[in-house]
Amino acid sequence: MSSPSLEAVEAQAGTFRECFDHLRTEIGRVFVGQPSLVEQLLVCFFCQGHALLEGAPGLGKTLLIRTLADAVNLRFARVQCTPDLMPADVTGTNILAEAPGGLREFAFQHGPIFANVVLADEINRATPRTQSAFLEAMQERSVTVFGLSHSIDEPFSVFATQNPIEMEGTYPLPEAQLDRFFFKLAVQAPTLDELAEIMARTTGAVPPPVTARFGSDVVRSMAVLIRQVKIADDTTHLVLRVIRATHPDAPEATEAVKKYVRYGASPRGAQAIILAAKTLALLAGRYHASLDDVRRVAVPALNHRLILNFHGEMEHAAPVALIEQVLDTVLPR
Amino acid sequence: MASSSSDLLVTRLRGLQRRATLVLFAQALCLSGGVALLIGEALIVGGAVHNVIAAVAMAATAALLTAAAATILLRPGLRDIAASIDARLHLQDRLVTALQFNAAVDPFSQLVVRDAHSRVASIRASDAVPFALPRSIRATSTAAAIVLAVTIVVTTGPRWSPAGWTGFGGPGATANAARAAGPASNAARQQPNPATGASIAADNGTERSSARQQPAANQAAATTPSTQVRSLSEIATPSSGGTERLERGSRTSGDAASRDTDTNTPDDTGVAGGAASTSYEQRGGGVANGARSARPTGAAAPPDDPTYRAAYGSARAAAESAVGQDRVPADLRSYVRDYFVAIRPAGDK
Repeated sequence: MSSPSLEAVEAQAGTFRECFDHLRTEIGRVFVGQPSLVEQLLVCFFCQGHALLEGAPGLGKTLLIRTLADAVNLRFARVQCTPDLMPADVTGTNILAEAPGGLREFAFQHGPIFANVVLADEINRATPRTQSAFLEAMQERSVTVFGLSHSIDEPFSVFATQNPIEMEGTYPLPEAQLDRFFFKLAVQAPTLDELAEIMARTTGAVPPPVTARFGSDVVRSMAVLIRQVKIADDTTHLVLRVIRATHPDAPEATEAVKKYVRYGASPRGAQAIILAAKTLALLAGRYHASLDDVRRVAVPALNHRLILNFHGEMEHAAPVALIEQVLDTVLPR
Repeated sequence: MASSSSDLLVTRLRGLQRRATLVLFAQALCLSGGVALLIGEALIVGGAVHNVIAAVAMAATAALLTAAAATILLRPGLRDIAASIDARLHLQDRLVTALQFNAAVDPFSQLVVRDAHSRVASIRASDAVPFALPRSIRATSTAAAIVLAVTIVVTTGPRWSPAGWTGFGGPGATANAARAAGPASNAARQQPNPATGASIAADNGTERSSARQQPAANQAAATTPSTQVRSLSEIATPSSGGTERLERGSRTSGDAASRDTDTNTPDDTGVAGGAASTSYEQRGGGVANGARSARPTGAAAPPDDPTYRAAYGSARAAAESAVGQDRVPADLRSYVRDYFVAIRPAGDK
């Protein structure tokens, strides 16, 4: 297989930037403000990762994901998680169907997880049994039902939301499942100007719907393109040192990490950082990732991967602050 | 084209590497030069080295060798240069990445190299590798300069002596101070005195001494003859010879004076004057000590024989005459008077 020419790669990179900007613009027509959140969500999407959005009710988490799904020609599914949601409701199950000859046989009925973009709304309200149904799908991109494995088409991204305030009747996500999220994104309350803009858009004339310009083929090719972006060994080494520094028993760990952290980030954290940094580099017109890119994506990639210990929980240690301290310590200025 | 970008990038980086090596050498030379200068100054002040030119040459050679060794050991590699320029010019790790993927042939690597080359080709060498001393070296050099200046001022600046502030000196500063304390001192040291006689000139035997003694003769009669004082101290101290010494006093004093004169001979150059002035100061100290205590420490009672008495009278008369001169500060005359009181013959007490 011959490698593409320089011009072809440059054209692909240009297409990537166009697609990214298109999605950003379309989302911006519906979702007001928080450009950093939108950019990180799109980075996660193009990297074929899964994201956990955390924020108070009514901040537009569901709207954001829904708009993203509408802006691309992809299959979208929404799962409203409740305590009585069953795993089969997510993965699908075998049902008895009538065959053309009058015979009855079991046929697999695909669940919502087989969509390209899955919104798991309020995922922490689902029982651990149901939450675990997402595990295999998110990591293996396949579902096993009655001993048969069913692969999920790519692109595939799960965007889950959770409300950090109402904890009663919820089931915090197990650490193994948290680690499967590429990013954990915090949805902030809008500013006064953003609130005014939200009022203007939602109480006036109905805005035109978002337009989808590209489909799954483009998203897949973009994911392949991102992985070809170069990163220097030194930069990779620094990313790994950041990961090591989040472990309390590692020599690189900061004092705060030693005091407040029980378990540090897994290798998936480094994978997320490097892939996201490559995406930002391509977005900036570069063909290599830099330390600045790493610095920009480290917090969303790691903040859900630090498991605090008892002291950390009691003193409400913020993983974001711990990670920023690690970055200041490990990465050169 | 990719290959040309790759080659041009490496060529450009090698040029910057050479410049960085030169900058490193200059920085090391500044640092080692300052340190070597300080050490040389310390050696000169400490008297370990007398030849200033040789000391400076040695310091310069040591600084050069040290700088060269440091440059060889710390010479930056291409990767170091690339990382340094990336950080300084905010190139987003372009050069480091391009250097790593320089030999790769895939399109992304070639694009990285091309991008890096286009950036590095447009920057000036002075921006990429500025010829500036790092803050640490600047601080060290400044500190060295301050210490050097203070050392020079302390070692060569004006000094206070009983006669007041004296001029600049250096190693011979005390000699200058001695001269400033009284031009008669040198003359007094060299003039024939009644006790030791003209043997100074006789033993010395040099025309220069004689020539110097002649114009000082008139002055010497009216100044404090330190050699005389020393002789009297020796006479008054049994451990230093006592009467026996007095008997060959003219010879002994003459030798001493000759040594002083010999030592003083190159005094005009200001180099060997230090030894002479030290000798003078020691004697002066003896005078002061003698004046402060009723009798020199550890000295037995002065003898009371006619010879001592005659020498004492003669010396005291000469001393009092010298003290009467205007150029001797009034508050210092008591030192001379007290000294002679301390060594007066035992029968006079």
